[in-house]
Amino acid sequence: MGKENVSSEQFVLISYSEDASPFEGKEPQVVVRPHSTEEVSELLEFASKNRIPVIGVGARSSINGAPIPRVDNVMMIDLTGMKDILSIDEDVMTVTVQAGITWSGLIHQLKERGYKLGFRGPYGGNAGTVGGSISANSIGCGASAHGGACDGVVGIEVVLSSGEILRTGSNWKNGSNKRKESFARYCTFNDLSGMFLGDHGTLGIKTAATLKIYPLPKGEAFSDFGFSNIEQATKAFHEIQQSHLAEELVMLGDANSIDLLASTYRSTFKNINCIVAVVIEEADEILAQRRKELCEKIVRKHGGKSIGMFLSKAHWFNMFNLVQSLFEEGFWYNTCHLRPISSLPQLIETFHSIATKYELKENGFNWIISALGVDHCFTSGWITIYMKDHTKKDVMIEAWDELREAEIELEGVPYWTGQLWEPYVLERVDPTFYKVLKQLKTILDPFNIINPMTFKLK
Amino acid sequence: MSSQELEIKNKYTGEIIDRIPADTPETIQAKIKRIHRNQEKLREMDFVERAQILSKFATRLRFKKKQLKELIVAEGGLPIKYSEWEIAIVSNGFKFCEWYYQFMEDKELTSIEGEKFAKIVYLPEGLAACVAPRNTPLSLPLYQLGANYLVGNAAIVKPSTACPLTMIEAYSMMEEAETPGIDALDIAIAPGRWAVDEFIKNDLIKVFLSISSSHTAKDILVSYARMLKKSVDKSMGVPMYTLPFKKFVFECAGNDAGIIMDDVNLEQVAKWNVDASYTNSGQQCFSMKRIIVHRDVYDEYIECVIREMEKLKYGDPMDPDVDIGPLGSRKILMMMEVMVADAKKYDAKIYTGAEKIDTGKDYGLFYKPTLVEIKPELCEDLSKAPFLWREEAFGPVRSVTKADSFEDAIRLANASNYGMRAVVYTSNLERIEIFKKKLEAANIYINARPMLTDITVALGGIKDSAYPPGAKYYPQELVYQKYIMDQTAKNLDKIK
Amino acid sequence: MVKFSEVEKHSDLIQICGKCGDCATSGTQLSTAKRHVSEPCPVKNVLGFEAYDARGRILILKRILENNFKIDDGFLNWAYTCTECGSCRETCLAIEGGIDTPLLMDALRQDLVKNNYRLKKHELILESIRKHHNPYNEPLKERFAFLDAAKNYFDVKNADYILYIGCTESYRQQNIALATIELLEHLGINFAILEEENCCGSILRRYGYEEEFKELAKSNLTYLNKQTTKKIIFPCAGCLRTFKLDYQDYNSTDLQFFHLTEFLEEFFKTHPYNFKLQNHKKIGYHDPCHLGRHVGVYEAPRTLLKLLENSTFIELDALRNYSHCCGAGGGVKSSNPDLAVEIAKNRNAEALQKAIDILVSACPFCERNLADGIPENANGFMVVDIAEILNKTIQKELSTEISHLGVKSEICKQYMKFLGQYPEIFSDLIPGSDMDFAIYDSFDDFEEEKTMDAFHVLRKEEGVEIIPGKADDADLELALSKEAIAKLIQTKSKEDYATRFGDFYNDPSFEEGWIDFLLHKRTKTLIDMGYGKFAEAAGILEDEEDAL
Repeated sequence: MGKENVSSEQFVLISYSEDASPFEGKEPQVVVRPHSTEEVSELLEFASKNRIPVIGVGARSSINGAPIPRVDNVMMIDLTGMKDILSIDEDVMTVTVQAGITWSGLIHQLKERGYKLGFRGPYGGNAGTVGGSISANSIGCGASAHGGACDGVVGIEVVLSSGEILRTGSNWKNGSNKRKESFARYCTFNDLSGMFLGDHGTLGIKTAATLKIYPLPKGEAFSDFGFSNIEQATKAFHEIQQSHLAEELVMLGDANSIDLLASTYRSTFKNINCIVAVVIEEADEILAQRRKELCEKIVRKHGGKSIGMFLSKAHWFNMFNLVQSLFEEGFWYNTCHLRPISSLPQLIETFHSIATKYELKENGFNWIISALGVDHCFTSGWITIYMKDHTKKDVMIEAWDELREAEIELEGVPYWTGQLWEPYVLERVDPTFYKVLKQLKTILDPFNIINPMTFKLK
Repeated sequence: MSSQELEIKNKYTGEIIDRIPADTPETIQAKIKRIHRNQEKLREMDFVERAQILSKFATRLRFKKKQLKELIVAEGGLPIKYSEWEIAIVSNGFKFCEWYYQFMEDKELTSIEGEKFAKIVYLPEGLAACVAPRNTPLSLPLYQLGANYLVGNAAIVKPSTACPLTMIEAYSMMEEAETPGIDALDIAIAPGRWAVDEFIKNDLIKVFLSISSSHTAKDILVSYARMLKKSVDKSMGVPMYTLPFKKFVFECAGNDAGIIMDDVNLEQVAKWNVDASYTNSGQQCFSMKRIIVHRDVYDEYIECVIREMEKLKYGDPMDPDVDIGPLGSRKILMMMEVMVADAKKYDAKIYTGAEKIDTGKDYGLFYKPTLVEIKPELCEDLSKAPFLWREEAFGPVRSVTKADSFEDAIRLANASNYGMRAVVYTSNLERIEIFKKKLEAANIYINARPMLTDITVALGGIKDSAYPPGAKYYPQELVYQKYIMDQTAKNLDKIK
Repeated sequence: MVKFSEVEKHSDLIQICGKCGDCATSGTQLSTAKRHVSEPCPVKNVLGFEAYDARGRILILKRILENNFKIDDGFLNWAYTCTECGSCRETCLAIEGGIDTPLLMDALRQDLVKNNYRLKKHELILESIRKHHNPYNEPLKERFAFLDAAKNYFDVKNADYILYIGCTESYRQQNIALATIELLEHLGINFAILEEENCCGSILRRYGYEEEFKELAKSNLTYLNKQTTKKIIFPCAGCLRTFKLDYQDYNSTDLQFFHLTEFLEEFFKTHPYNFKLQNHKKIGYHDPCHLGRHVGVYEAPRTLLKLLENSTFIELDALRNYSHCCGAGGGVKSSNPDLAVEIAKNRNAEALQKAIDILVSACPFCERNLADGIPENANGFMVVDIAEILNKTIQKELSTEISHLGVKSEICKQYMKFLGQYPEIFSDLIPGSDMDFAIYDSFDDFEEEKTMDAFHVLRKEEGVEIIPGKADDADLELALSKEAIAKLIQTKSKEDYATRFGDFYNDPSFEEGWIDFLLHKRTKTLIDMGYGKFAEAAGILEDEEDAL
């Protein structure tokens, strides 16, 4: 691998010890930067033999503490050096990438060739990698039409704890296949891809993934809709998502959130307390406009009105550059999870009571409530609290805990679990479900060297 | 055959411009003998001297521009706008014809041992017979004559009998100026195929230079083969053909593709496109005949092209505003009608044109500049493709086709039995290299304006566009290489 | 225990970082806001580990503030691997203007110096500046040795501008200094050089020697303030940035600092000049960090480069405030020379990918470092400073010398005088070209080679000499009828002359006037001597725009 790709210098290890969350963990003992699947395979073979715990990481732009080692002496495998597009197959409409490619870099290169992705990255997609997103069931841009990161996967290449390389999907053939990448995920055998997707890097280290691509849209439409109350907004949001009309369907859940992101609207439309923003991509202009009209009809039915295109356009054209400007509000404490759309009003009400209870505003905190419709018919719930004054950290932790507790009780299920949700899910997981997870772990990682302690599987 | 008189008519008005006597087989044979006798006079001068003489002659051409232009317009039907280019291209070529010397300089060769005793020199092939087409009354026949003079070949040029007067005038100018070696050059006025046969069967003629359709060229080869056959002597048991080898240089038809990609200024390119496609009513071998446009800009581009086409004015070629003059012959008019009718059978969309102006006579004939859409799937099997795609449209009818990508554009451009020129407009630097490599034509033009008078412009083509294949400079084709190994310096002592 | 008081002062910046990772690994961004962000950190792009990008550095500084850290050699080396280019700051959206990691690195370095972690290399540089007024350990008295008769340039009292050469151009990139001086002299700028010019001290601040820097800054400013001339032109972007930005706290307000490109852009507005490349080239521009991101000058160099005729200007993908650092800044060129060159290779690759022939920069560090990083099979790719390319391509005014001895006719004399006004007509010809102008009474005379009168024009380095009679070894002969000349000398402008000249050649008439020419040398030779371009400009070759 070369000396320049391995380091155990103190300052290097420190720089790999955190992600974009407030969580802490252990510093790795060494960081390695492979540039090929073969190197990763050799690393794991070596780690297996010597019982060295490893963790595979991407950009570590996660908000859940997942890529932070939980045990000592971990070998951190930084895959951001493996960032190439391996191939674009226009016949079966896939792109195969090394796991460390950033969503932004991938999108840019595909655009030059005339293609787009379905799901195209979490909101941190500038730095976020494909490998990281599919290991954590990421939700983000394009999810309203295409589902989450894993829905776009057609096959993966993953290195097992023994160092063996597994390729999934239609790539199950031995030796010299004509096609090097998978074109069909569900074909001859059980879906092995699924086993590793969302495993938080506990069953193997992903080195490549094949994703679906589509032609660039020839028609686009944007629209923002204002509602005076969350119930009406949710009904409209729900019906639009049920009808599968939008590429991206976003909701800002209360007046405070609107003030943070789109305050101009509130000065023009005094009664708006929720905004539903719609982004449409279609094969031509006429179809795009027609979808927009159908959305407008739904919105009117539920008492909303068109207020312009600012939010939806800003959201879409500034993809991956939205979240950062909110850091001014303070350090972010996220609570991303999934839920049925109809449960949104109750969630928001619950949050507001927590906000009152802990006097968030008075303590200098701020928050944003947003939801993103996911195919095929639920939503992500994003309530993020910002803390400017670090002396108030205790208040934050309490409020944050209570919020997450409420969310998971109220029909919510986390995604990108990590340290953010792990305690909550482990105390609720069905024993049979958990037993099967542990059995898989034992089979695939008998020496428990891959990302030990995550999900406490062994 | 008795001597006849030819009437040369004005292609627009039908008036008789002049009557000239035609040659007969006997007069042609005599001319050939004469120029052969005088070939040595040419070779008494060296390349540089002959180049200077041609350079001086170019001056005379410039002085006589006005009269020459009028003749060209009258007998050729070329608009006066375009006749300036006709004269400029040949007079420029003559003025700077020393430039061709680079193809004829002695080449010193170095052996593996590092010795320099060998070299290649270039010598003129010998008597040339040249046949010129009807679409350029001056430039092509005069270029044929000049190229031969330059290298030291005697030459006889047969201009098209539809428009020989300008060439005759140019020849007279050379006589008047008492051009040294003029006796080694002559003109043959001979309507009909028989003159070509005279040239082929004549042993003295070593090179046959002709500009015609590919089919005519192949026909000439058939005639040569027949004559060869007639010359067989079976007395030794083995067939021995007594008719000597002849060098054939054919410049034939072009069905040039022009590719317009999705990353260029469509308005500017459309302007150039219309120039390239419809100049001289499209009666040019290197006219842009099959326009291939990237699908993302196709509709917009058609709009730009139609706008430019609507600016084209047709009518009296003496009118300096006229772009499109009368067609060279009724045959061309009929061919245009046939091609358009054939395209209609494939349900091809006709964007504009497809109308004729038929005076009923053999002059004043016009066909409006026409643009026909040919769907790309029709071009996959050439034998079943529309006539307009398969063959050269030697008139103002052009096809336009949609390409999905640059690879598709290359595929479509190459789907042709011709390969004279290919033109590309794109701003993608990487793709330009691929175009240069993969386009099947002998002359590739990238992002260049059309109708260049650049001295580097070459003739020639591959596939059925020329024989032998390749981009050509005539002077280069009219000489042969001689290898000389002179080890005198090394061995003279031993030998003396 | 080590106290990091300077870093402590900026702990709010360290706290506000959300660790989003954009500064670390962002791929090429698509935003329509034209953010040309693409893998912004030049050091991380070479060394790979997170520790070298802004996010990593901030995490390390956070740990330092928690006093949970051991300072070792690896760490010390790390502290000086940041070029302080500011790409990370430009990328960062956390606060207005972005989190200023270069500022944090400066603070760290100051703390290291204060706590006596002084690297030997750096101490030597400090000594060198103290003793020799430059960081290169070169003798003080050699400072302007590269300039002939340097003392002629020291008269600041009577100058309009001070030209602040800077140490790098004085002792290393002297080619740029010479080109700058030659250019300014040609333009007639009244400038002077400071006899006691000192190092701007930028490297001191970059290495954390804040006290020493302050001292030097104050002393430099005192010296400058003493001068009567307050306008200072900097050919070095590094010096400019230091004076304009880093000296801000100590600056007196009536000193004006310009970069050479800013000065030239303004100057050419009222004094236009022509620039032309001999052979067509594709030109790219590399925005130096110190000139672009740090001081905000983006347009001036571009305006200047677009003046170059016979060139095509191509923008790099990472441009203006998103320009990728060349790798030399922040002291990296001297503390980590291999790293600097590796970074330069990456930047050059970006230019080569766009088929750029010449990459122009506006800072001697960029020029030096990029030139050091040109790959072997680069096919003629070169890196030059903007002063060099402007100086090389400026169309210099040509002088005329006319002698009349032996001229036979009045008309010949008049024509010679007429041409003498426009020596630039012959600018495309190489020095040593010699062409005959032969006047004929009639075309018949021309055929019989009977000249009425003649002169020849000899092209010299500084201009042309118009000499009666024909040349001994003329390259070519321009033959003109007397009628043509009579009309040509009536034209009122160079453009008019060229038009009529072309007309007489292209549409000659025995009575009205005609022009012809005879070549006495091989076409190829004449083309190489510049006669092809001469003919084109003279209207002899058909202008294609007119032809059809």
